[in-house]
Formats: sequence, C-alpha cells, structure tokens
Amino acid sequence: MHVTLLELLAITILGLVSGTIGAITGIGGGVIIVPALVLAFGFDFPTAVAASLAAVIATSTTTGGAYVGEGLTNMRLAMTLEVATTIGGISGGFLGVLLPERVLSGFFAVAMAVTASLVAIGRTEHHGSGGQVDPEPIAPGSGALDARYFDVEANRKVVYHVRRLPFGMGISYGAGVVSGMLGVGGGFIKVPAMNLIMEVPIKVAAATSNFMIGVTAVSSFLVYLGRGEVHPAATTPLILGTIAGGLMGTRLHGRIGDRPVQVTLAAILVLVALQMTLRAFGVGIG
Amino acid sequence: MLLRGSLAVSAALMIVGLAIWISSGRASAPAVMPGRLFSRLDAGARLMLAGIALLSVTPALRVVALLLLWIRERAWRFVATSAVVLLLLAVALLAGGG
Repeated sequence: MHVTLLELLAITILGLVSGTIGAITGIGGGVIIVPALVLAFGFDFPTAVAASLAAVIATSTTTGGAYVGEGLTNMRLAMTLEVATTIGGISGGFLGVLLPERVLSGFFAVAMAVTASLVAIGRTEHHGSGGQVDPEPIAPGSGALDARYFDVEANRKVVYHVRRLPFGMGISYGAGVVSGMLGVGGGFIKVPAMNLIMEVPIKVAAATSNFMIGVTAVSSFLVYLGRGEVHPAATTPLILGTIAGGLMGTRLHGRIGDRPVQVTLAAILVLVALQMTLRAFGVGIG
Repeated sequence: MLLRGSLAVSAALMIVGLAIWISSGRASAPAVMPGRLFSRLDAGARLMLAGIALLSVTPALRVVALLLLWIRERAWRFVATSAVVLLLLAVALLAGGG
C-alpha cells in the first residue's frame, strides 16, 4: 500500500474533522472515516475499518474521562453489557474480514442512513452535565445495576432502575457486531437501547455508551491487527488527527450551534450512504 | 490520569515514529502483525506500531482498574464480570492470530 506525504496530510485532516464533529455532535468516527478512506483514498474495507476502530479507541480515550469525572457513567451496567458487546465485537471483526466488500458496503449504507436520521432529528448522544452516582443499592430489593445521580440542570436527584437486562444484552451483542464489521462506535444502537428498552436516563445512557465504545472497538481491532489489516503509517496520522480534533471539538462545543453541524453532517451522511449503496450494487463511484 | 498518561505516551510514540518514517523517504505503508513489533520493521514503523498497540491497550487498562476497585469493594459479581471481559479481549488477540 502506497501513501504519499500529501495523502498523510489529508488523512490527518480527515481525523481532525471526524474528531471535531464527533466531539460536537456525539456522532463521528466510522460513519465519516470508513467511507472517506474507501471512496477517496482507495483503501480496502478491512484496512479502512481497522483504521477507523483505532480512531474510535482514540476518541473514547480522549473524551470518555469527562463523563466518568462527572459521575454519570454506570460502570457496573457498562461492564455487564460489555460482556455481550465484546463477544459481538469479535464476531463482527471476523465478519468484516471475511465478508465481500459489496455486502459490507450495503450494511454500511443502512447504518449511515439510520445515523443520518438520528442526527437530523437531533437524537444524538447528549452532552449533559452530571452529578454523583451512588454505587450502592438504592433501596432494599433494588438491583445491583440500579443507581442514582444528581441532575445539575434539573437540580434534583434522579433514581433509576435498570430493566430488561437480557434484552439489552442481546442488543449490545448486535451493536458489537456492527461495530466490528463496520468500524463504527455503535453508540447509535447502544444509547437508544439503554434509554428506550432498559429505561436508563438519556444522560447516563450516553455517558455509559461513551465508556463502552472504547472497549468494544478494542475487541474487534485486535482481530484486524492479528490478521495483518493494520497499516501503521496510514493509521497513525488518522489517530493523531482524531485526538487533536476531539480536544478541539470539546472546546468548540457550546460555542457554536449544534444544529447547523448536525444538519450538515446529516446531509453528508445521506450523500455518502447513496454512494455506498451504489457500491454495494457494483456501480463504481469515485 | 491513567488514561491521559497512556494516551500521551502512545501519541508521542506515534509522532516520533511517523517523523522517522517520513524522513526516511518511504512511500510504502506495509501492514504489520503485532508479532513483528521487534522484528525486521524499520524504527519508524516499529514506534508507530508500539504507539498504536499502547493505545489499543488503554481501554483494557480501564477494565483492570475497575476490577481492582471492585475487589476492594468486595463486589465479587462485578469482579467476575470484568475478568470475563479481560479474558474475551485476550481471546480476541489470540483468535485474530496475533
């Protein structure tokens, strides 16, 4: 694989843009990186997915600590769901290496269309403020995963009970498969699953998902690494750009309106979803 | 602090490795497997791979930190859960062939 100096610079900028958008909107990583690497730089799918997973790990590591410090992340729930997600990530990693690229392009087109819809209607990860999570059981008879936190915006203590854990674990497995196969973080599956099915408050769901995506990405990244799909010289500038973008995006968040960024991102995702759909049907674009 | 330190070290390794690789005038970017970390790779690629490997270990360090915390709290159910996650990550590395 050949990488010129100009391409290295372009890949760094791609990481910077992805990291910045991801920090602002909560959506980023693979949905931007993988199609860009495949369509614009000519990477094959496994190489692009491996690079994207490395960027997801970088994003999670760069931004995830903030939520933990705020006390929103439910670590017990995260680790419990992570058992299923990690198995899914390993499965997805192998699928990503073994499935034909046209099939992967089709899956990716669907994932991007779903993500574009969520971004367009504003249902992305919520960067809320938090409080203190009490790790002890909140009342006799309550589950070990149940918890409480102080919502600074609402100025009140919020108690929640985690429900339908087996169902949540099943969806977490699916999120892991998607993550490993397509090189995305999977937050667009995990957050709604925790919030809508397991009845976890949206702020806690977003923070907990943010914590989980790094571990999930590692499980599939290790599969790609072991199978020789990681190109250090092509992956390194992407990671460095993503780290810088994440740090920059964290500072910009709140200073620029989320809505214009979300609408722009949704439009880009729709266009690229169309391109990936054409690619899935064997029509060469770009 | 653990995460930030690990991130900083991995970024430093990648930056130095990339600088060495660029200055060597190479254009090809070979794929590597972790077993080659200390083999015939040039210094630049080796440093970049070390940085990437450290970055990929960082989330696992978080899981280790939680495991130790739950041992201290005697929350044995979650000690077992985090141990299973670490085991699965090891399986992922071995299953991939690394």
